[in-house]
Amino acid sequence: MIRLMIRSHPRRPVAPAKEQAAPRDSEAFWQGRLGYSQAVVVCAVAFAFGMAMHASIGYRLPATLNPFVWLMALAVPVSLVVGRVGRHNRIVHWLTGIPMAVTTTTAVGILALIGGVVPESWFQQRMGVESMWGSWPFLVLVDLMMVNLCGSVGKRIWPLTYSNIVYQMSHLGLAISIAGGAIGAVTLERHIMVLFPGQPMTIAYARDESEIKLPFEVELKEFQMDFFPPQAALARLDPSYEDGFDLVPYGGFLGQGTSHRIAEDKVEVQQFRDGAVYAGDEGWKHAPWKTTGPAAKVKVTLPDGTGETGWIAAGAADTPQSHLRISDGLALVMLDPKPKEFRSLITIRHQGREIKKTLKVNEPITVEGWTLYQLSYDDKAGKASAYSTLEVVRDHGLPVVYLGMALMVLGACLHLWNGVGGKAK
Amino acid sequence: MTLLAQLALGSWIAGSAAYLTQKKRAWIGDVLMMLGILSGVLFLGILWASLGRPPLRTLGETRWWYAVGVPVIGCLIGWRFQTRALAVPSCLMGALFAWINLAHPETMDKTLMPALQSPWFVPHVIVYMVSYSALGLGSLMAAWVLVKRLLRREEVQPEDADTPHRLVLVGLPLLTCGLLFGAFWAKEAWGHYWTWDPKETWAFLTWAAYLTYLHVRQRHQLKPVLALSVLVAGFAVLLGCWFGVNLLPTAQESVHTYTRTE
Repeated sequence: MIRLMIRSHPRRPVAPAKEQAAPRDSEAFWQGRLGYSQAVVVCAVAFAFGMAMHASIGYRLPATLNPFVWLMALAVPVSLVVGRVGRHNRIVHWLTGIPMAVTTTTAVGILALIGGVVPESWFQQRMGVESMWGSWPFLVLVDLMMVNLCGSVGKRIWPLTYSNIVYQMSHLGLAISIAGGAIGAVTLERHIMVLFPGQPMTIAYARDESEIKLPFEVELKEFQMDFFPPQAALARLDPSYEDGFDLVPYGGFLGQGTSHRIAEDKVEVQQFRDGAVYAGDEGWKHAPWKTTGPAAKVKVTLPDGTGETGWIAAGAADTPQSHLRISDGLALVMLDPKPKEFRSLITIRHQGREIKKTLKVNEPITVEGWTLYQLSYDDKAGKASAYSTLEVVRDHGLPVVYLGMALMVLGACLHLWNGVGGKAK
Repeated sequence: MTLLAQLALGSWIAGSAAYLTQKKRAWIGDVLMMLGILSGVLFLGILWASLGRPPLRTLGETRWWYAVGVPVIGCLIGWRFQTRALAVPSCLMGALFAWINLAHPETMDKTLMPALQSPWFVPHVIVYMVSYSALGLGSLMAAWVLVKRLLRREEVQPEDADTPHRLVLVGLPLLTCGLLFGAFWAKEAWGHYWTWDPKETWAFLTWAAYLTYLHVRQRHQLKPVLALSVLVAGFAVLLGCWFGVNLLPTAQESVHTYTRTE
């Protein structure tokens, strides 16, 4: 303040202090040392601005025209340069400093906390926005965080000392990842494709159910599914439970000749069928069809030596569920076998070429810039599912995101090395 | 197998008692702590073999990794920086988590859903659990320092924050790697690296909390109370991410299901 007064009136005698106009509180607030208080005010203003955008413009703009999404990507080069060139300026220094970093991270964290606790349906019904993550206040605050992040990298981009390189890897890596995510938010194409055996498809469906023509054709040859062996559980009748019984599960697998202890009861499997149909007095007969489920003939021995022998079955599309009643209020049941793997045998046709592939969870296939993922199936029909659902994704921001993430991993490794090596301050 | 877990629990409790009462013969505590770690590691190995899959799927299974991971981290950091300050808290924390698991045994289910059958599964969860061990221990130490100084009506000294800070310097880079491994895996399994799924959101919050600690510490090294308080709060967020998120209404909206027909 004094320095500014001297600059403004260099040749005038300094007036007695009591005759000077007292500086307004707001001026003193911004002209003094900039720190957390000012950062909180800036974040509050940014939030208020976001709310004003929410109330006025709303969410009619598509992501491709949202200036704050673009700003996230543009913040990287612009803030880098401004942070570097203006590093001696008190405003730039503060905007790119730790108080602003802590405050913006906290502000984004508070909104993320709300987004992580409140169901999305609330945002959709009460706020008219799909989720917190696309809301104006969140985007504006993330932009502010990006300005701080990238500006801080600009400040320390030179000289290339070891500590600056480690700093840049983690900070610039994060900034690049967020910028790539922003590019992805604008350009990401993520659609659903439902395949039926023998029906070639070139159409996928967007989230708004519009049809998207793909540059290739996919045909489902067969949908296959493997299950873990079935598991058993003791069902005790207990009205205090919602379903009317308490289920005591057992983690082991049922199989031919296996023996198990469920709670205090001994369970021995005398006969086991992978797929079986009920054959009246003859028990369950082997029938390895897609619409049948497993069945087992078991002997249950209670701690007092008494017990029961009979068939249990999980039930499937063509077969009923069957349990073994052991005593009043106690029965042994077979649980639905859990999926081990499901896969689609597909043929992809593109420009006269034909590629045969097996698509599994965790093993996507990339064709012409599109990546195909095994998403789901008719879970009620199980292995007899009449269709297979794929997800087709194209994300132009992905290489940028991966570059940022790779830098972050490298930065984290170097930070870890510093931490273990005891170099950290 | 349960015997090994009980041996680990007993060794860590006895180790803590030895460290507290036999200060001139600290080697007794060291031996007991190592015995607990060996029993715990052996228990995890046998559990892995008996299940036929990595025992990293359920909360109970991850608690076992945490129970073993905390004393391991306490041991390694203590050895690296020539301090036994971590010995008692790490033994007690390991014992607490082992006791929780023994008191509430889970059904050891051998199944592993298709999405978890990925090369990313083991590194992602193990890196996370080692990170949680270091960060949890750091937060516990921070809480201990704050309470101790408060009860004695003394000012918290900068050197009080050194050991918790060292643990964060180990835990936070690992947390970063765990988070990114999860993102790489999500891209392979679900088509997108980040969907603000409730679990992802809480993972971000945990990461942001510890990042905030690091920045506050960097800025206010001579006033460690603030940074240590952030560190304690960070552990509350971490526990929210690990256990609490499953209890929230948003957990029903998780995209980490893959049998939907949309």
